[in-house]
This record gives sequence, structure tokens and C-alpha cells, in this order.
Amino acid sequence: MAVLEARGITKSFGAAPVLRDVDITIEPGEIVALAGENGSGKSTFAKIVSGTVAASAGTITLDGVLLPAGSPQQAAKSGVGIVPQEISGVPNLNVAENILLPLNHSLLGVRVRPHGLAAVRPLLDRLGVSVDLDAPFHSLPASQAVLVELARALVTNPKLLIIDETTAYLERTAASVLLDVLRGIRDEGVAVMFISHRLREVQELADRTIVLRDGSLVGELSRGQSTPDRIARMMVGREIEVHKRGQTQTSAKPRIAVENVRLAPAAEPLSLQVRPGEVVGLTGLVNSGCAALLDHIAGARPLSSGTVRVDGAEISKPGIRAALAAGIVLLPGDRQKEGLLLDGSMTSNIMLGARPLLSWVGLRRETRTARRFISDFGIRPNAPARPARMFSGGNQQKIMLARAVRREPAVLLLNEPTRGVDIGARADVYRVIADSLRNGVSVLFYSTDMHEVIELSDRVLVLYDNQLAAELTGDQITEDNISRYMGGGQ
Amino acid sequence: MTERARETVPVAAPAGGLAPRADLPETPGGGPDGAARLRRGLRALQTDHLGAIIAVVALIVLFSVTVPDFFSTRNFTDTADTYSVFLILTVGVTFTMLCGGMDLSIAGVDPLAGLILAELLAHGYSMWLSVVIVVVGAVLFGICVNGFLIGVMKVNFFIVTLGSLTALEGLALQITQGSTLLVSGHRFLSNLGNTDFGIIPLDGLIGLVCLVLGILVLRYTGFGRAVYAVGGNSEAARLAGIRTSLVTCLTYGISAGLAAIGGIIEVGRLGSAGPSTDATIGLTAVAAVLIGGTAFGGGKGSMFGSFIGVIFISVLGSGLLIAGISTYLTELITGVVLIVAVAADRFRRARR
Repeated sequence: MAVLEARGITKSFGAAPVLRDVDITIEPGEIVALAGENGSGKSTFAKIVSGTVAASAGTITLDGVLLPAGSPQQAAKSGVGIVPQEISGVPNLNVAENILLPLNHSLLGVRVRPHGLAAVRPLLDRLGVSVDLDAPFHSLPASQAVLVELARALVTNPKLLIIDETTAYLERTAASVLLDVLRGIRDEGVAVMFISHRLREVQELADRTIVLRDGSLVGELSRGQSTPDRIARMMVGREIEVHKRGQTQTSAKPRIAVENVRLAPAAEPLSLQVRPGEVVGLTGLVNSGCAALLDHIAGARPLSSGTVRVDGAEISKPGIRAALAAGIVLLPGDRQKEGLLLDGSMTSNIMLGARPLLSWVGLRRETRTARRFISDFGIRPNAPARPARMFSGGNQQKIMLARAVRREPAVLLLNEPTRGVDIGARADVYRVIADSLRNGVSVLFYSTDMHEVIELSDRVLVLYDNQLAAELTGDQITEDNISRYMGGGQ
Repeated sequence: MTERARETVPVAAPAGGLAPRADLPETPGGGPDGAARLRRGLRALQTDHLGAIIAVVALIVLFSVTVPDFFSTRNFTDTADTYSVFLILTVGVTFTMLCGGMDLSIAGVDPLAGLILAELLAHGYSMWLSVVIVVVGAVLFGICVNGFLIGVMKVNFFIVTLGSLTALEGLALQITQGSTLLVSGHRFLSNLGNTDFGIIPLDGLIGLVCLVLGILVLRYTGFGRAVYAVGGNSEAARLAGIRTSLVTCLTYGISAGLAAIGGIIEVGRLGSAGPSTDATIGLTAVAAVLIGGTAFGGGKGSMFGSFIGVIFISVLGSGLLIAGISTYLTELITGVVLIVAVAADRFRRARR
């Protein structure tokens, strides 16, 4: 009998469907890989199985028992273990306490003394991680933290283990140790669901590969068929128009020069330059400092040291307004929290910040300006008065881009410009970036999507632990190089 | 779980042909003709304020049928006179609430402004100078005390304005030692509460002027748009280069300044200034704003909605008064109706 039987799983956030009628079964002792682009629904599916998200329709059966929708406790009790995409350990508990968390239910905030300590050390040894059991979780580097989370998932002896992008945090050797561990777990009869962007790992590990595209299951490949090329073709479905640029203009003077900016008190200071019409990609693990760097340059966070110059002129005053005046415009990474007035109309979102406090706002003129961007950017539906809340993620992103481009920036800082954006809107976002470049704008963008970084960037800066780990140009821009430096390798 | 919350976002148009404003068909060419604009405006009015308007009309009909003398020009004038100050206070509170806060201290500013005016007049200052000093002083108090603590120091607005309400009440009692100051001999002041233009009293007219200015500022100025932006998402507003602290400060300046104008009108009407008026007037103004569809947390709602909320509360008050219901029972009924009105409105919006 199958361990996992998911039938007709459908999920939509607002009007945007994320999963459409997906059926997946996993047998005991089988590793099934889920492949798909960002936003294809892989992680949402993992969250539905582990109960943190409730499906809109469909059923999850584990070992023949129907799981109630949206109950992580029940899912865990029934034998689902998950290592989620975002590191989620309790920062102030130590390693042992974190690992034993699923076994120790504390009530009313009273912490029950961990039992089962004896089992922890062998578990960690098996994962090839040497870490102090008493160290607080927040002191661990990401590469160790994810392995502690894996140990936490394993401590309950799950029937189904879900691994969501865990290897993204690991350097090559640690990742291959992890793959061996997963094979061992499989051989004990556990079902494993493996999600990774690294298609070579998928090829190496998976007994079966299931490909999702835009929320639908588009195909299944058995071991031997699942070459990276073939998976990638199924993932994308059609060719996306992204011209690989890579033509570095060495002649022009830098548009923006960032010098000796320190991202953390102990970190090495960091400098970078971007020339007009050049795209520089920033990438690194979560909390590697990429997003913080963009915030510092944009004035959203104060600089503790260093300078930012635009066309040779130093920005002397701190703060966002000075940076905006110099032509530095930031596209925030979190649409909901930092970007949109969700209850505000599309027009008021596009025009946000356009007018000084003491000015008369012509509503019809505003609408006319907004309409120009709406048609230029292909925002659907074409309804300037509709609240931003009622647009899909991709269109919300285009609204934010319209706001940024409206300011006629000299430097565009983009934080995850295509996070949670479907494939069509993604092409629109790339087109907007290309148009800006043609107008001589400098683009510095941060993305965790490695393909995007490789395809868009003239140069790639890899950050590790709040420091610059590598600067890659031309042929150096490869998946191997980026993931090695991302994980702290040399 | 923000994602799950998004699922409840209204998508379908409600029954009865009342499409949300956003779903109105777009007129091609961008320049809608007059009739289309009127239709659009009416529909917007219906969807945004339908519940409140129905409630107001129903109340008026109810009182007109059951209470003789209710539906008369005399009562209209009386009601407009009685509730003009309340309207002015509500206009101010609307600014703070749209900006994501609330101002309870107006119930303290209002009587204190009247007292200070009376003291200044008693010391021989000219009437106009006194009025200017009182209003400017109130605006500065709103900006520098409430606004500074809430907008710059990020202290919770409820704590701050409740604290300043209490402090101002104490100050008023200290100044007067609990007694009432008589104010007389100032033509303009005594005219304030006792002049009618046709059926509209002068103080009601001042209230309407404040309302119209409020509507214009909120809709058509950079500041007004910024109020919505800060209330809707202050981090997004900050990142877009809006001076969020300044905007917040100014909203408290506006509400305190309007409360002072209200206090001055009351002095004119009563011919005296006392240490306390109704301390719940601030909360009642908040209720009017809520009935008008502005959400706690801000960013959503309108000044016109608040006006409907004021009409609702004033119709209810005057109807019960004329019907001869005892004041105790009036308070009970008012409280219950307020809760029902706001709850019904929220329920209707949640279903949309």
C-alpha cells in the first residue's frame, strides 16, 4: 500500500490558483522528486501534505488514514516529517532541545525536560554533522541548522519524509552526505519526497521524478529518463525569451559605486560598482546579506560604514529620501508587507510617493498616468480603481515595478523580482528590466532562483555570511560555481 | 497565515446588481461622459456606504412615523445645531483613524480650548487673537504631544491619547477648580450658536465647511493620499519616500485643532466654559467613523462615510430626545444600536 496518497489536491490563494487537481502517490522505500520552477506549486504541495496549509480541495491519505486538512499536529502524529524550505528552528532553544521538540509537548509555556537525549548524538553522527548539543540554535550557520532540522524530522521515525530545498543550504560534499543519508532512510522503508532545484541531484537520487508546471502535474519520469535537460524542458514547457547578456561594458564609468559597506559588525566591508546598462546579480543563501545590502544601498536601513555614490556624487544624507533623490529606487522583496497598499487602488499604488505632501492631486491625471503603465506593463485586468489586493501575484509585482519605473531611476535595486510570480508575468518582468537597461539604467538584483541569476546577469556577486564570497563574470557564471560559493566553499 | 486570509478577499459581485466599484466597466478613451460618471459615482456610493445609508433612511422614516414633530424644519435646525460640534470632532478623528491611529484626547481638548479662550478674554485679549491662540495652541499640542509620541516614538496611540485625555481633563479642573466661567459681550461668539441661515444654523455651516475641507484634503492633496498610504501600509509608504512620522503627527494636529474649534463654538453657544463636557464624545466620534466604513487600522474608508455616521448618530439622538425617552434609556439604546450598526456593516463587507 502507498504511504502517501494525495488525490485531487487544489489550492488557490485569492484568485490565483497555485495547485490544480494534483494526484501523487509515494510507495514505501521510494524517493520521489518534485521538480518545477519557482511558483510551480512544489512547496505549497509539501505544506499541504505536512498540514501547514489547508488545501482548497482534495484529500491526503497517509498509510490509508485520511489526514484532516490544515493540521500540522495531526500530520506529524500520523508520520509526516518535514524539513521546510525556510529554516524554522526555535532560535533560543539549544540543538538537542530543537531536535527533541516533536517528542516534548510543552503545555502553557512550561517546558518539559527533554527525554530521549541519548538518541540525539547517533542521529547527528549519521547525518555527518558535528555540532555542540548545547549550542543555541540561532548560533548555527545555515548549513548546520538545516541538518539539525533534518534530525528533528527524523527523530519521530516518520513514514514519509519531506525534504524541501534543504540541499540549497549545503555545499557540495555536505549535500552528497545528505543524499547518502536519504538513500539509507529509503532502504529502511521510509517514503521520501525530495524537492530541489539542483537537477543533477534529482537525477542522482530520485526513483521517480514528478514535474509540476503552473500548479499542474505535467509529467513523470522514471529513473534513467530523468536527465537534467529533460526535466528542465518539462518544467518550463516552452522556451522563455531570456537573452543571455554577458556583454560587460568596461568603458563606461560606474553609475553607482558602493564602497566599504559592512553588513554585520564583524564582516569584511564590501564594495561594488554597476555601470549604466549593466545587470549585476546578487545571490546567496537566506540571510547571507543580499537583501540587507539592497536595503542599505536604498537607504531603507542606515549604513554603519561606507559610502554610496551615484555618478560620482556621494549621497551624504542618510535615509530613503536622499537615495530616491539620487535616483536609487528599490523594489521591495515582500509585496504584502513592504510593497502594496492592499486596500488602495492600483492607481494609488502606482502613484505612491509621487506627490509631495503640499500638492494638489489631479485624480484624472493620476489615472491617466497609471493607465499608461498599466498598458505598457500588461497589467491584467485593466482596472485602475480595483484594490491591489484583488490582483494576482504576478500583476501585483508588475504594479510595484510600474511604481519603481515611474520614478525614472538611475539605479534599480530589485529584491526577488519574480518571487511567487507565474511564468507569463515573469517574462513581462524580464522585459521591463531589459527596457530599463536599454535606457541606461543600472540594475542590481537579488534572487535565490539560480537560473534567473545565470540568465539575467552580466556579473554575479555571491554573498556568504554577510561577505562577498565571489565575483563571477562570463563563463564563470555557472550553477556549480554559484552553489559552491553560496555554501561557503572556496 | 496571511495567505489564508487572502482567500476571504471578495471576488464575486454581490447580488442585486451592485458591483463593487472596481468592477465597473471601463469607459474607453478615459473621458467618461457626465451621465456615466454620475452613475459610477452613485454606484460607488451605494457599495461603499449602502448599509449606513439604508440605516439612516430607515431611522428617519421610523421616527417620522412614530414621533410627531420629528420631521420638521424646526427639528432639523435644532439637530444641526446640537451636532455641529460632534461633526467637527468626527472630521478630525477620521484623519487619525484613516492614518491607522485614533484620537480619544479630543474630548479633553474640546472643553479645555473653551476654558483657555474664556481666560484669555477675561484677561483682556481681543476675541480674534484669543481664537487664533487657542486653535494654534491645540494644533501644536496635537503635533508635539500626541503626534510626536505616536508618530516618532511609536508609542501605542490608544495609550497616548487616553493618557492625554485624562491629563487635559485634570488640567481643566485645576484651572477652574471645578467652577464655570461666564463669557459674554462678544458678538461673534454669541452669534455662533444663535444665528440661522434659513434652516441651517451658523455652527452647522461651520461644521459643513470643515467636512468639505476634510473631503478635499483627503481626496485631492498629496497629504491626503499620504494619510491613506501610511494607514494602509506604513512600511510601503516609508519605502516609497513618504515622511510617515510627519504625516502621522499632522493628523493629530488636525484632530486637536478641530476639537479646539468645536470647543470655541460651544463657548459661544452656552455663553460659558466649564471644565468638562461629555468624555465619551471622543468614543462616539470613533463610532461614527466606524459606522462610516473606515476600518480600525486605517487605509480604507472615507470622510463622506464618517459624515453618514454622524447623521446616523444625530438622527438617533434627536429622535429619542423628541420621543421623550429618558436619558438613561437613551444611552442604553444608543449603545446597543451602535454595536449593531458597526457589526452589521462589518458582516456585510465580509460577505462581499
